[in-house]
Amino acid sequence: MKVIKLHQQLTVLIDLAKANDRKAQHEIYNRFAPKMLSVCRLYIKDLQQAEDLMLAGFMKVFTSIKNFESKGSFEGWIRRIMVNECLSQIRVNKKIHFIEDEDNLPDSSNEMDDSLGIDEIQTAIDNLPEGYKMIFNLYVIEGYKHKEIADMLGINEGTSKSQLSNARKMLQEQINKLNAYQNGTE
Amino acid sequence: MGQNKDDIVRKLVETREITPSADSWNKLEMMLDANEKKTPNSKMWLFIAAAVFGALLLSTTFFFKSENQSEQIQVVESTEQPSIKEVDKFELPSQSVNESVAQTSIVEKASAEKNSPKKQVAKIQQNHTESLLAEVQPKQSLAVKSHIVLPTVTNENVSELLAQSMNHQKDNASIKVNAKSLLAEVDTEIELTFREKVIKAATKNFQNIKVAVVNRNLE
Repeated sequence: MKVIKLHQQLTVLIDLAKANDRKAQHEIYNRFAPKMLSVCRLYIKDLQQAEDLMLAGFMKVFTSIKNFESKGSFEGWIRRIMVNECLSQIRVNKKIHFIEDEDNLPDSSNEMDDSLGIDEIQTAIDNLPEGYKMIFNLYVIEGYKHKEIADMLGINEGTSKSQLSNARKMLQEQINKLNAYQNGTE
Repeated sequence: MGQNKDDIVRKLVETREITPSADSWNKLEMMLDANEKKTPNSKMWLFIAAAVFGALLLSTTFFFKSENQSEQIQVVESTEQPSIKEVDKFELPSQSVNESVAQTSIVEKASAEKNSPKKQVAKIQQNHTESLLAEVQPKQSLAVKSHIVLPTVTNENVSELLAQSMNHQKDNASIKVNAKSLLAEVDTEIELTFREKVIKAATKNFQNIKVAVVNRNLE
């Protein structure tokens, strides 16, 4: 019952926001901004820059909210806008080279210590090269398929797979290092 | 113990929330306000579109009006040429009136086909034949009179009459009308007035739009 009520409230808010109701827009912002800033922070190391990108993303959300047809999830729609905003920003600032390495096989160790916190994981992700980070986030966090990632970034499907494999390996190394540092073994 | 790495990372990231800075909403609000000011509302666009449409309508109306005027003047011009011929024909009593009417209508038809649509030509022809008939009728009566009077003229007056007729013919021949120059003069006059009207209409509409935009910005 509570979920249905929340959904109805959101539908009303979206309709009001479509009519440029500032209060409704503020309410939507308050509801989704913390999550969206977290999404942006995954791609952008600097928190202030991530926030600026999130604001630009919300700007797009409110200017194109009339195009939202309420068929899918509103949160998913906002999230997609944020991700695209981050990707285009990264691509504008840096020329990213995706080196195809077909010899890389998927890593066998798919196990991870579940005592790790989000800060450690974020630090490990931050240390990844831009190409690895983008593909890892898109595949693991956003749940895109390799074909979709290849289309989005204009690369081969194989490149996407190899980049992900490399990203996982590097991430594992990073986490191991962090663990060792925390445990005082290094 | 162990768990799929992807699931752990996804779970951790999805549950994370980072609170934005306190003035972030103010920034966004300012951006939204600026964006709204940039893009004029649909009513404003409608007003501008209506103004442009009105200006176009006015200009086309003036344009067609001026075209009609020029056509009418052309008709007047074309009637003058056959009338000069008519004067020549007046001296020849053997030529019938009907023939002259037919000739003038052919001349007129040729000039009218160049400049105006068929329907207008038909109308002009009708008007023209009527006016020509009105002109020719008194001449015809004169010709008939001359036929009647001629036998009564004495031999003494013949030379005098011939001299008079020759003078009359010379006078008629001395009147020269350059149709092209007249037409060009009239055309340029019309074009100038038409241009002036269009410019006036455009400036008026531009002023209206300008005032409307300034008022909107002041609001």
